[in-house]
Amino acid sequence: METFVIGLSIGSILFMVALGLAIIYGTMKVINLAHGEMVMIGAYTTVLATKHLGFNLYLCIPLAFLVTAAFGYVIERTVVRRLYGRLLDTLLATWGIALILQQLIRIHFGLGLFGIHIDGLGSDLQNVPVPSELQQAFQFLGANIPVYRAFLFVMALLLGAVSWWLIFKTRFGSQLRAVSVARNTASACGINDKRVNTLAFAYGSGLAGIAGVLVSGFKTVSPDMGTPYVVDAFLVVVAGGVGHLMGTLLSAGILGEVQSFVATWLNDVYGRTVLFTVVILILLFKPQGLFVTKSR
Amino acid sequence: MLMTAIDGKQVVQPLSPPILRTRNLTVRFDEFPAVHGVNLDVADGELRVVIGANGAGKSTLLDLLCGKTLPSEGEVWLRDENITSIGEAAIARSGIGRKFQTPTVFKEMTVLENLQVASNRRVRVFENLFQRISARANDKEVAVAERTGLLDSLNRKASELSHGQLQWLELAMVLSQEPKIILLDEPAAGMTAAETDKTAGLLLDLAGDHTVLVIEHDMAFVRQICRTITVMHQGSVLAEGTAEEIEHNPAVIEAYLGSATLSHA
Amino acid sequence: MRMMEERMTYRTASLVAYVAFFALLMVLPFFLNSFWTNRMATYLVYSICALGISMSWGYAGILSLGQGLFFGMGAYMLAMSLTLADPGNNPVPELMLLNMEPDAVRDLCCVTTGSFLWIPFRWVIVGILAGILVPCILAAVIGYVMFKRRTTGVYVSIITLAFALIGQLLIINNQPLTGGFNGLASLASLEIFGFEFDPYGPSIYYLVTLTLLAVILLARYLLSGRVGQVLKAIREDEARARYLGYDVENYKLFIFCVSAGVAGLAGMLFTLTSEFAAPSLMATSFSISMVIWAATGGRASLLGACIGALLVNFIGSLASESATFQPVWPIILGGLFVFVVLVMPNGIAGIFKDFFDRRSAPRTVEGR
Repeated sequence: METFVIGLSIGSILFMVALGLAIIYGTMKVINLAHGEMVMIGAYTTVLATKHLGFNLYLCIPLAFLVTAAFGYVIERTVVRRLYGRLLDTLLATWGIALILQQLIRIHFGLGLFGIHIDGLGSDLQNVPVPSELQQAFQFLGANIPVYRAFLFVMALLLGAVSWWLIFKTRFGSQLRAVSVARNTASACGINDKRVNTLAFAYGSGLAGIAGVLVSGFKTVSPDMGTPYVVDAFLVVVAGGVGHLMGTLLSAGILGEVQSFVATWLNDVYGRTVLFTVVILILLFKPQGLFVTKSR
Repeated sequence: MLMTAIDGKQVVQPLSPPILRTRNLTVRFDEFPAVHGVNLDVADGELRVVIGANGAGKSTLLDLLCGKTLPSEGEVWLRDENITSIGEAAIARSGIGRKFQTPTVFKEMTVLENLQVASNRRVRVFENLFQRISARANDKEVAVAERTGLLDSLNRKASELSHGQLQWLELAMVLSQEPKIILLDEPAAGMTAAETDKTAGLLLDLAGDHTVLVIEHDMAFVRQICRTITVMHQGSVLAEGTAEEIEHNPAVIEAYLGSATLSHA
Repeated sequence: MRMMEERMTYRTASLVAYVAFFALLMVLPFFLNSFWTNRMATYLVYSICALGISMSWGYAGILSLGQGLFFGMGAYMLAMSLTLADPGNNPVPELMLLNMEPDAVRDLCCVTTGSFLWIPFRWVIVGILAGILVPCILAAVIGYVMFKRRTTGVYVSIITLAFALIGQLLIINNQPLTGGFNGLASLASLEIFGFEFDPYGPSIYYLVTLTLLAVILLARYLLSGRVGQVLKAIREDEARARYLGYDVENYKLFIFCVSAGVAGLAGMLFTLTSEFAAPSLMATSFSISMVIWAATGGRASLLGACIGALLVNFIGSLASESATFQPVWPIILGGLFVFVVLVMPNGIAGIFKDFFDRRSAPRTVEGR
């Protein structure tokens, strides 16, 4: 049961990171390798806001969303927009952006060069204070469950629900779906597809920022913390089937559980090895995703 | 030609033994039969035209013949070789060449390079390891280029050609393959009247040496090449015969009453 | 006719570029101290890596993000032999002594689980051969499954990346066998027929330069012939190549394996210049760096890819000498990625080629 809950929380984080990536990849077929850095920036926003503004973790969630969405907005407008249709090139360009963002944090946005240091930035590891109610644990079905893990799970479901509502119940969502299915037709029908792209990119980045806040609550924060997330999250997206919210949710859950159970049974390294193997097999034998029925 | 009536459908008895045969060829997409129980006999050297409305399964039929789509049921025979599901490359090597509706060529390569890749009959990696390529066209390549009007464009990149020229280039590539059977999907689509005439002439020219299977919408064009016609309707073969027979066939008239395909004729 | 002439000048110009490049490389050690000779040798090793990338990505459109796996395997194979050649590691490597069960027999056969795998590496020639063959075989297996399943484009990149991650994890995890996170670092120098290659002397430098020359000539021969033409055709339109009768999978598999072998070769040379092999060689960031070197120089140009690797690393190491530039370098590097992709997708070689194209008859030049 404990293992299951750990798997669920791994899956929750994976889902939150993957959700943004799925929206971005599904809408504009861009693999954003700087997505992990959005998680990182979300985490650093939390570090800075708690240190300097006296924010608590809850308040950091909307703040981080806004900050990372702004970053996403700028990245889309300056770089990604020029690379539509060149999938492999966006991979390289966004990796370059990721390098830049990491290093900017390490050198205090360049201020470090002039001897100015901002507490909370730099290449050191950082920790974030967690509200005391989240540090508790409760009993459920005879298992001891930390509140924080339950909080992660609830947040993942909440973000999933909000995104679902946004995509399927709003005007913006229907434009988004139109663009992702048939960009040219949608733009011929008067949808400003560039604007839709920019907003989708910003929203996806914002989701990663929220994931960053939540990650900062139980992991140390460092400039290169984001990189593993982007790989895992992309694997989740592809395994679940591109453009399928439910698929992303299920595959995040399954991959999280797989990793957690194998890690408990053998060790962490094997957990990740098995995770990658599973994903390779999915990509090879069901590249359209686990939960998508094949159609012409 | 001999006509016999089977189940109220008219069937042409081929004069020479068929080179291409399909038996009960069927494919379903999500349980929807796009092509259903097609039995086709195409004689050696024949020029066969397949007509039918949109969605009648013509292009899917070609996809099945060249291996792009795998049949759910049925078989394709080339002479006495069963070529069902042996893979696109193997089907191509056994002698079937396909021209698509929208031209597919190697855009960043020159016309000559396109032809060289197409005409090379050594297809394996290790056979080609030490093969050099010439910067000049050989006689065969010149002949094909001349036939398709591309002689002046040999050193141009394919991406610089016009749409009509791309159609010709793809046709030239298929010819370079020296296939026994040529599958053409609407070769006259998007061509000017003069080009259409030229295409019709070329097809008539090709028939005899090659077996040609053409999909066409344009009845004027079909009359121009005026050979055996197969009419497809809702995935099945509705009728076979000459243009005149087809136009007077009650089943065809019923299926196409008011439809643009035949009334345009 | 005019086009033919112009093309000749471009060809002559590239020939001049090749000759000049290698002439420069040959005389360079006379002007460098031992530290810089060693550095340059390492950067030339990276050039070989970039060559491998250019062959599979530039010519066949297969973008492998797991090239580090093959590079690392090459490095480890030779490093195993050189570990055993070091007197301090006799009869069994020190790393095994640290990790063995207290009562284990001190023999390679059974000192730690799987240690018998090391036995053939007592002969250096085994290490050298394995350094090329093991990456090739690994690539053959990975490639066979991928290409038979008709995996293309970005999925190839992701799968190769995942394989490299698995390789890295397995090596880290099997410390008693592989040295784990620290890798293999107490190595002897390579000795062939009594001649000892000194990592800081010109001997290694020339070994790397000549290998680079050999690889580039071989690659040129291969890719300027029929195989290269078919690969280019496959890159342009895979389906069309199939309908012309080519078994696309086999061609892709072939170039993927060759590219892996080249990476393995580079990995071995890396072990010689840098005197270690570690799991970090298989890291995602390293694999992506290789791609960027090739892209900077020009993905579809062999010489361009070489020069790209050399330039990026050379400038990088100059930057790391200076206290001011050292922290900014990763930002410049990241900016370079973005710049190359946005502004010069065909890299330095592309600019070189455009220059000659523009002098010939006006033609539309399209970026890919």
